[in-house]
This record gives sequence, structure tokens and C-alpha cells, in this order.
Amino acid sequence: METKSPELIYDKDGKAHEIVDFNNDYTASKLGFWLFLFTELMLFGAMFLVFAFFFYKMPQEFVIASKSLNIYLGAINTFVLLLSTYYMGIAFIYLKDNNILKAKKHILFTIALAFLFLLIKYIEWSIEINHGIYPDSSLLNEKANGEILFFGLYFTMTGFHGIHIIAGILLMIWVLFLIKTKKITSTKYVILENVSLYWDLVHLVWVFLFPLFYIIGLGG
Amino acid sequence: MDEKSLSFYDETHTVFGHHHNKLFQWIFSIDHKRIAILYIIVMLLFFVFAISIGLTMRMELFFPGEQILSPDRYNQAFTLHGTIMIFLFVVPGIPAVFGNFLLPLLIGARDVSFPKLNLLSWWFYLLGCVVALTSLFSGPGFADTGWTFYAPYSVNTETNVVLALTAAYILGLSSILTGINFVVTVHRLRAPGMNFFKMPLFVWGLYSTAWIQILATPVVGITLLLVIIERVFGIGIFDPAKGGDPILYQHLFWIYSHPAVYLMILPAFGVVSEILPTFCRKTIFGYRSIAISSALIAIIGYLVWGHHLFTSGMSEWTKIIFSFLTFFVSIPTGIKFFDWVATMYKASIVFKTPMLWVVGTIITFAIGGLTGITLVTLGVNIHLHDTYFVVAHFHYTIFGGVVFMLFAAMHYWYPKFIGKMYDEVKAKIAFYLIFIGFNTLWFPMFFAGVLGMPRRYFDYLPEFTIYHQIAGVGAIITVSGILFMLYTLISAVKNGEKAPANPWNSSTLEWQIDSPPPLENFKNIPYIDFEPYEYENGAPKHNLYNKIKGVKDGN
Amino acid sequence: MLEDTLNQNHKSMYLRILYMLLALTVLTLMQPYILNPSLKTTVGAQMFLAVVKSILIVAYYMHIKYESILFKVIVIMAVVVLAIFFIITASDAIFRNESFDYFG
Repeated sequence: METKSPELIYDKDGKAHEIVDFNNDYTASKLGFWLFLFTELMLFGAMFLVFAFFFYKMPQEFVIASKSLNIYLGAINTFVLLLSTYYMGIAFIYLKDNNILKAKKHILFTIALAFLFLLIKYIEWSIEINHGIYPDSSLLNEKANGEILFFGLYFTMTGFHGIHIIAGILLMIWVLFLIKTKKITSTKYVILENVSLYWDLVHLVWVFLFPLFYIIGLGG
Repeated sequence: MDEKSLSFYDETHTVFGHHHNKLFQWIFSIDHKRIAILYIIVMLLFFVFAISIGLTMRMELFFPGEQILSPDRYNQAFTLHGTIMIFLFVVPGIPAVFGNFLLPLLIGARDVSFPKLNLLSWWFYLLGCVVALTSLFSGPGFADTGWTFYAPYSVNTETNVVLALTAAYILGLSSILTGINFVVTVHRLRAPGMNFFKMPLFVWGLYSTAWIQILATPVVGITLLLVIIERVFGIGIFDPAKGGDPILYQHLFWIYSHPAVYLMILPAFGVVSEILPTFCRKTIFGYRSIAISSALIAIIGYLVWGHHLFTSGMSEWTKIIFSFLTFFVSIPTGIKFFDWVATMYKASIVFKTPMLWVVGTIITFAIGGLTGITLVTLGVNIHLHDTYFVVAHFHYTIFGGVVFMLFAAMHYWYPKFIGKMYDEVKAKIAFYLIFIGFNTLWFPMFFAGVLGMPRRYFDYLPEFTIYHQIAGVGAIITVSGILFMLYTLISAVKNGEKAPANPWNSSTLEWQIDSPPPLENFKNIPYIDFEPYEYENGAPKHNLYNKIKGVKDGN
Repeated sequence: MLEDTLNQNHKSMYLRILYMLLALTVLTLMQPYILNPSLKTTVGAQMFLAVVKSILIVAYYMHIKYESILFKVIVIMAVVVLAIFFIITASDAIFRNESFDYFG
């Protein structure tokens, strides 16, 4: 049904060579998705560049601003996201093993943890905003320049990160639907693999975000 | 007797299933050849629009003082002219049209790796164009910041900056998707036997360009988004009152926009490398060095963006680094030029229109490139930055380089796209009109710039009048030439003589199939055990037409 | 069967990497309290830990270790390009003469 016989051509010595069918090319899908991930790397990378630039110029003010973030909520989110990537990876292994039920269960775990991340992030933002700290607020504009920029970058970068988490959740729900309709199977799984890679990238961004925004304010 | 062979105009694959409506068969087609034609139609429309804005600007500047544009309108005019030319015309440019049409043909493939993504690229392009047009007619009108949208003015001005930046962002998405498609296609769909050093040089150009599209475009994407966020939320990163830094904006903007010019010129250089062997009827000189130089230009291009901001207030050390690195990019470029001239040396040249354009562009791009070296010399830059010298430099490189090579491509591959030939005499006349008009328009500007005429200025001192008037005359000649050229090409669609598969007697794969090609390009994909541009006694060494079509060899 | 063993090995690899990442995260949280570090030391140590975590994630969770040489090369290439942007922009940040502190 699925497998078409490959198209072969022959060279001068009679050796056969296979023509790649672009409508059924697992490596192409994976390669193409990695290239898309590079664009995400550059997008977040440029934002980290902006952060690094101003952190270098106004380090002490960044540290003061960082102290007002809630380290406990940040740390919990770090563990939540790490665990979610683990479950996503396990889901993929189960799928390749044709254990569809366990695969779906683990994707659901991932989605649940992703929602938890968003909830905690929402709580964090609410705390800041209720204290009168948000971009261009009169309270924030009174503070030192470094603090203004820290919070501007905080909302922007965690905001972009949050948008990517939401997109990830939607993608995972779509993957569950594709598994249900047998468009993703134990032999045809590149979409799940790519979504799993996407989720790892979202985690990677947080791996750098967390220390730069939360940890610099810790300690003596 | 063969049945009439169908071309890609007669049948197509669409993304949503079957349609009776011809329009839907075009705008939902996932055939790379139809998508290429969709691109060129929209692009040429916007090109003509942008030229007319340029002509209006030249007429305004014909005399000192206000003629037909108020100062604010003038600012909007040059912003619109630049934005359309860069984001809607030259950046999609050769890759979107000739890359899309020819990449699969040149490597012996039936389409790109992601045909549906390819169509999405075009739809994003169209959406970006529509959003840009919307910003013309709503509220305070189009942005007046210059196409470079420098902060803090872009943050504070009342004009439709958000819409213009949104349009640019969407166009960037289109560019990124095309880049991803091309890299994967080159890695996955080369015909068996074709390793990297057997690929035609246009493919090398497209491949290097595609990497720039992927790695550089997101940086300007986020930069433009940050300006929007700054405007709407006031986070402060470009606002000195909050500790922000406008120079950081310039860094981020040019980190993309400098590689962007290599994104424009590398496919164009690839076009020259295709046209030269055909009309010199011998193999290209220095294939490997041209191929590697494409990659080198792409790489070095990432290191030099700061030469756009020498006078901005950057640190001296950084300026020295950028100036030093920029000199290096002239080396691989020079290698290409020497290889091309060596190809022409003692060749039996056929001077058809594409060859005329190639020779013309070798002259004008050389002038453009050399004046770039002048500009990148630090001390000289202080005097010449933001003068007409810069305007002349980038028009000589972008127009006299990229666009001339785009015109060369239009004439070279016209028979392949359309299946007809245009009137050779008219096409040659158009070339001479444009070449003469172009040099009349921009050569005086080098002198005006050295004497101090600033760019983007609505008015000027009386001593500069003569330069503006010569340029004005040049503008009229150039525009006439372009319109005549477009008329020649468009009228040939209906009236032209039918074109054979290989009217130029060229050696690459796209000429070994019918003009215009069938829907799936190659019935039988050939095994590639030869290098490109192999000629024997002035004719291509390999003729694969029959083998590909599956017709028994007559001889 | 071989496939089962392969997948079991795969799962245990995933778990081992999870433990390593958890340990590194605990270290991340503890680092500012070890030996009273200066801000420079903290930033250096934190970035080092983040890079180590990234390498583990990219190599194992994102399978780069098991992919063809093409994938390995392009990942390194993308990171190098980003690094270039950082290094040259840093030269401007470090060597520019003005100081924001003067403007309060």
C-alpha cells in the first residue's frame, strides 16, 4: 500500500541508483525542520544579544532587578520544563515501538506540564504587574535605567518564550489527532519527531533564560 | 507520430485537489515552474511602481526648492522606493523566480523538496505586498524613516511604521521558507552521480544564498518586531532616556542587511556563470574557484556589517575590525571576475542579448564594487557617508549588478519559460537605452557625493543643480529603456517565434528538455557522470534530450 | 527481540540524561552560594553549566550524536555564526568610550 517501488536509473557500468522521491523523504523532512530550528536559534539568539549588551553596561542594576523575581517559581518551572522534554522523548520511543497507548499518554503528560509552566508564568507576571511593574509603567520609569531595561527584556523574552510554549501545545494536540487518524504510525513518525525537536528547542531557550534572569540576583 | 507533448502550462498539481477555474490552477499550483511565474508577475508590477516613485523623486530634484513633492512626502517617497525595491523586488529577486524555476531542472529533479511550502512562500510574499500597500492608504501614510527604519525616529514618528515593519516581517518569512526549501533540495534531490563539484554554478550561488536566507533573516525579523514592541509597549531598548542604545538597533539591522546584499548578488553571479560558457562556447575558466568563492563570499559577508555604521558612534576598535574584514570580501569577488574574463579570452563569442547584459554588468558591477572599497576605507568614509557617493555605489552594485543580471536571466531563460523567442533587435536597443541611461543617471552622483551632496535630502544648494539635472535626464532614458524592454518581452509572449528546446546550444540540463518544460520536467532522470559546461569544438559535448524524453535515438 | 532491546536501551539512555540534567540544574541553583562568587564568576559558571546542558540536550535528546555528519556540521555552523555576531558586537560594547552611568 504505502511502499512504492523506488525509481532506479543505471550508470555506464550498469549499477543501479535510486531516485529520491520528494513526496516520501524522511531525511528531507528532518533536515528541513532542523533548518527551521536554526531560524529560532537566531531569533532568540538576537534577543540574548540585546540582553548581553545591556547587562554588560549596567550589571548592578540588572542584579537588583533580578532579585525581585521569584526564584522558587522560576526553579519549579525549570524542573517542569525539563521533565516535559523527558516525557516527550519517551513518547517518541514508545511510538516507534508501536506502543501507541503509552505514546499518547506521555504526550498528554507533556501537554499537562506545559500548561503548568504557563500557569506559573502567568502567576509570576501577575505578581509583577500587581506591583506596578510592566513596560512603560510610571513605577518602572522611576527606576534606574538598567532596571527598566531588565524588566522590558524580561517581559519581551519570556513573552516570546511563552508564545512558543503555546504553539508547542497546539502542535502536540495536533500530533495526538494525527496518531488517532493513523497519519502518524510506528513507521511514519517524522512529524512527531520534529515536534519533539521543537520542544527541545523551547527547553534550550529556557536553559539560558533562567540563569540570566533569575540566578544573577541570588547569593551574597 | 508523437502525440502533442504537454507543457506545464497545460497541466499542473495543486495543493487542494482539482479545480476547473484556470486562476485557481495557477494560484494553488505547487509546481515550482508556475510558482516562479507567479513571483515574476507580482515582482515586475512592484518594480515598475518603485521605478515610477524613483522617477518622481528625480523630477522633484530637477531644480532646487519644492516642485511636486512636499518635504514629508519626499521622505515617504524614498522610504517606499527603497522598501519596495529591497524587500519586494531584489531580495526575493533571482532566487524566487529563476531559482524556483531552474534549481530542480539544473540538478535533474522533478520539483523542490517541499512543493507545498514553496507555494506558501509565494502566498506569504503576496500577503507582505498587500500589507505594505495597505500602509500606503491608511492613516498618516507610509513610513518616512528610510527603508532602514533607524531608531529612535522609527519609534517616534507618527507614520505607519508598524504596518510597514509587519509587511517586511512577513516577506522575511517568505524568504526563509524559500531558503529552507533550496538547501534541502540541493542536498536531497541531485540526480545520481552529481556531487557538489558537478553542480552548475548557478546552483552553488543559490545554495550559498539559501544559507544566508536561513541564518540572517531571523535577526532582522526579531529586530523589526522589537521596534514594533518598542513603539507599542515602550520597553526602552532603543531609547537613550531609558538607557537604551540606538546604535544597537543599527548593529542588529545590518547584521541581516549586509548579508542580504550577498543574498542578492550571489545568485546574480551564478547567472553570469551560466550565461558566459554558453555564449563563449567553451567551458568556464576556474569552475572550482568560482564555486568556492560563492561560499567564501557568504561566510565573509557575515563579518562585515559594521561598515554601514562607521559614523554612528561605534568604538574605534570595532570600526577597524570591520574595515579590515570588508577588504577581504573583495578577494573572492575579484576571483570570479578574473575567471569570467579568462573565460571570454580568445573565445568565439556570440553577442546575443543575454551576453550583452553580462558584459554590461561586468562593467557596472566592477565600478560598484571598487567604489565600495573606497567607502570602506575608514578615513574616507567619514567624508562620504550618507552622501550621493553611497547612493551611486549601491545603485551600481544592486541595479548595475543584481538587476542587470536579473535582466540577463530574463532574456537568457525566456525561451525556456515561455517557449517563444523575443525580437532580438528590440531587446538589444532596450539594453543600450538602459545602459546609457543608467550611467548618465548615477555616474554624476559620485562627483556630487564627493563635493558633499547629502542623500535623502529634499533640497540642495544651487551648485549641485547640474548633477541633478544630468541624473534626471538619465532617469528618463533609463525608465524608457526599461519600459521598452518589458514591452519587447511581454509582446513576444503572444507574437514571438516558437522556441526549440536548446536555442542557445547550451550544455546544462534545463536545455535538454522541451521549451517550455513538461509538468514533471524529466521523464527519465539521467545519470550524471560529467562536469557542467563541457564543450567540444564549440558545441556541448553531451546531448541528453532523447534519453530524457525516452525517445529512441535517431542516429 | 533486537528492537525491544534497542528501545529499552534508548529509554534508559533518556533516563540517564534526565538524571544528569537534574543534577546540573541543582548545581545551577546552588552555585551562587558556593564560595561567595563575584558576579563575573557567577555569570561565567552559569553560562558554562548552560552550555554543558545544551550539549547534552542537542547530542542526545535531539539525536545529533546519532545523525549523519551533515547534521553535525550544520548545527556547529549555525552556532558559530551566532557566536560571530556576539563576539563582534561585544567588541563595540566593551570598547565604546561613553558610560551610561553618567546619565543616571
